[in-house]
Amino acid sequence: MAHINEKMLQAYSEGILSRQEELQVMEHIAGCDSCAARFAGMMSKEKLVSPPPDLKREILVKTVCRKSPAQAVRRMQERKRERQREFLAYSARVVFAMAASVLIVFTISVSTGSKQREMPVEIVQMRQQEKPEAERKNLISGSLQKASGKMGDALQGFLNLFGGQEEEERE
Amino acid sequence: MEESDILSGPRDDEYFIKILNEYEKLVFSICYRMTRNYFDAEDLTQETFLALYKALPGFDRQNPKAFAARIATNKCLDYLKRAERRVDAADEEELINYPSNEPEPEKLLMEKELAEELYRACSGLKPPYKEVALAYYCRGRTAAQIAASQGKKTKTVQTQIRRAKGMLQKHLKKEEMLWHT
Repeated sequence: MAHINEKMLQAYSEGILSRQEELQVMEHIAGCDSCAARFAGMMSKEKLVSPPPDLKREILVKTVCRKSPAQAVRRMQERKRERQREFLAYSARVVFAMAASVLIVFTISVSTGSKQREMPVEIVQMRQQEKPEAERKNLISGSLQKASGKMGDALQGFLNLFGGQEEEERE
Repeated sequence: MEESDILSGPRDDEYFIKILNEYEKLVFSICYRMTRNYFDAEDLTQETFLALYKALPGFDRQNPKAFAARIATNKCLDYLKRAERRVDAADEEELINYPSNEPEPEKLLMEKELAEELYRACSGLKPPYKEVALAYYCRGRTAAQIAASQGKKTKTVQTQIRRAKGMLQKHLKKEEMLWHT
């Protein structure tokens, strides 16, 4: 059978066909993946209605957890926790990688302090002006503080992101 | 999805939960659209997901949305055919008693209008079903939440919801019969 044309499918999704036409369209959709997909795509947000609150739970009880309803709820919570753990592990890896790279940069800049050609520009300029030792230390610790401040911001950003995700899931 | 996912029990369960979370509202909306009856849509959504769960081991996981829509449509078709038979068998004289200015059942209600109709229908029930039905169907409270706030057992509230649903379903059926004749 030929596929349902766009106009007909649109009318069907809006519920404005006669019962007879509707049945014909349904008969086709029931056996046709491509028309079923097109129809499902036409069911936009404003055409959706909310099911009763316990329906999902009832379905889970009759499928995934036929024995105990508590098990069904636990399973859903486990999945949620699993996703949170995955995200936390990912964030931890990113933070660790950032911390490691910052550490490496500073190790290099501090350990090569005596070599003129690899020195950071700031230190080179300072050397050229022949500033006292104490002032040079201040400059280095200042850069370190600045960097750790940036790290803190980045970490806070991740935490906010994570918090945001949690809130989203709670809705 | 990997090939190895197919035909493996626990992974099917996980996949099923994912589909249920993503398409419960879509399936319910399709069922409501075709039956124009909120409570029958509830039953049909359940039937759809039960059938989908059984069919999952053979499903290629290419388009779960279309898969869910197709099964829901099948379930609705069965329902409409059953309903037609019911109307054919109904005694027409009995139907004449219903007032002709009842709300037009053919009209497809949008979410807000549906909420209003649900509110009207639930308000017409007697206590304790009225309170429970209003909390469950209109305010979106789960049976467990209602039980906690009313100091009842969850099982008791679940039973009351089921009975309230039966009454509401019957009420809507009468309107439907009127529409078909």
